[in-house]
Amino acid sequence: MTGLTISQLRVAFGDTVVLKGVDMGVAPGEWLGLIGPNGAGKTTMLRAIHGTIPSAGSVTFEGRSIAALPGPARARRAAFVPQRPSAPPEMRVLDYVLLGRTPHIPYLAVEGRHDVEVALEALHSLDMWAFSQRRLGELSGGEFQQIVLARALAQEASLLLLDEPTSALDIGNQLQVLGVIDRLRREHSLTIVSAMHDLTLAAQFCDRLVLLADGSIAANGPPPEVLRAPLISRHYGATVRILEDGHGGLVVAPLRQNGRSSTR
Amino acid sequence: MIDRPTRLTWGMVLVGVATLVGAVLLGVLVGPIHIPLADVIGRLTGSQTLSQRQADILSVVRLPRVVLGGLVGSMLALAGAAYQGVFRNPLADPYLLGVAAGAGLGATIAITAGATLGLVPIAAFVGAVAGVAATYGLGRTAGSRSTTTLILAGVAVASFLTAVQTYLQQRHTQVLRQVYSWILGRLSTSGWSEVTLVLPYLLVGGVVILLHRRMLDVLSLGDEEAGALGVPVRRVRLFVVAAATLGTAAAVAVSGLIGFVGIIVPHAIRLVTGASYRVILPLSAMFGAAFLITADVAARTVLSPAELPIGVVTAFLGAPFFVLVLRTSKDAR
Repeated sequence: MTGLTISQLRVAFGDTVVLKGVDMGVAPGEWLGLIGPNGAGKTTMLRAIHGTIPSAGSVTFEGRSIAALPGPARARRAAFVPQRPSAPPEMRVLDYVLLGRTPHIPYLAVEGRHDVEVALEALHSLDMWAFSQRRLGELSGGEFQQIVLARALAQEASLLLLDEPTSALDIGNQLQVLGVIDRLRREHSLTIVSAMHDLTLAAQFCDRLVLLADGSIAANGPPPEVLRAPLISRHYGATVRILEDGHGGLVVAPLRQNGRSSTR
Repeated sequence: MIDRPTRLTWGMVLVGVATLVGAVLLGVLVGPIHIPLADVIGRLTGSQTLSQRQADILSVVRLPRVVLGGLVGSMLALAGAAYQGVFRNPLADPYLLGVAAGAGLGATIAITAGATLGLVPIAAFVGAVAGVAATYGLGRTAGSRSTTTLILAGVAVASFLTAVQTYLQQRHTQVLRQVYSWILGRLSTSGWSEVTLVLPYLLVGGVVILLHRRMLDVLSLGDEEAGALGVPVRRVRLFVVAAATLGTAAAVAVSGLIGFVGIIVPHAIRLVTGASYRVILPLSAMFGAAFLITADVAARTVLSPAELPIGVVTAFLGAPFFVLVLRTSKDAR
């Protein structure tokens, strides 16, 4: 397989083992959703895949070990978007997107005309060209999230690692941003691994889900296989009902534990 | 709409150069002995219309002082902007991290030990570098990589060094006046020797900082994101801090402690031009020079014929500005 291959990935912070030898693969062009309760190791997994925290085991992408690559070469293959990217409020959108070109520019050099063109094209792909001279502090949460994606796109990496890309957004913006991610990965043939908080959105957008619990994989497969009420209840400690949305997708509805209390 | 990234423009450079030229002329022309502008320009272009006395005042007293003021101001502003960039802290200053306290202690040791005046700058330089090294060491052993730890380590080191310095001062009250006149900062020169002494350090420090201008913009995203973009964050921080410290230590060695330049100048530029270090750094170098030359003119004239320490002038302007920055950066959060 030429996509992403992870074998026996193990991460420990001191005595605390966060990932206990995880094996999984992601096919080229696939969108894999990492789900699991808080503290299950989703973010740690993304960082370990990107090689920014020390880990044991191996992570290869397109046949090469990511951790063995020097920083810039690694960043040219895989782009990582944290859950809350920092947004210096005075920085202009185009300048911000241009920072995505960093791994393509030698250490002390400055960007060339080509880099500016790539950054503008990335803004164009997201229909955000009109925002290029705005300051980050002036953007709404949904707009900023799209600018962050433009920056990742300007990085021209074929693996995109997204840590809960829409957790700060309202449902309208969540659907829009995830829709954009889906379109981008088809247009630019990107492989995506994203940590997902919202199980319904994960079911609707991801090709495959991996349920992490206590640092191990509890389930791995297409959304209908992973999103089963007993499994989710067990690992999230919540009662849920899995509903069909009528278009072949699933909806995960959380239910109040002891039924609705009567109003007085 | 112009789809260009934020960059230094010719217009900005022009304004910077014009301001600097204005400050230099002011610095050269103002003084107890009147020297007309036309004669100064004549002197600089080779024709001799000045009396020997005027020519000497110009080339031995005023010009070296103006050039030194420009170099020191330029370096302090550049170093301030650099520290603010690597520590992502708008209040970071060259005197943070124990530079000032280390230099102060070094100079005090030299003065109390009865060293010749030529040794004082060297002792100050060594003290400044040692102060930063101690801060860095302490910050690292504290375990955390966060910049707050480093800044707190700077506070601890500075307090300790200042305590030692005060002790020495009290033990040797006969040199109190000399120590204080050094600590309050001054640009009085003995010809060009100070300029040639510091120039190599300032050039190296300044050039290294300017070369990292794009890196400082990447660092404004924070360590994690900069690292994810392939930037060797710790190496960048070490290079930039080393360059800024080297330059500051050299500047402090010849000028004494001149505070607040590193805060006032970069912030004023940031307010006008926005956040990119591509713009802030080169403009800080130009306006820092102009600012300190002008402050020195004020120091020389306010109590004329007596001279006010230049550190007093910059602190007088800088402290209220510091409060302003504190307030506005709080609003931004």
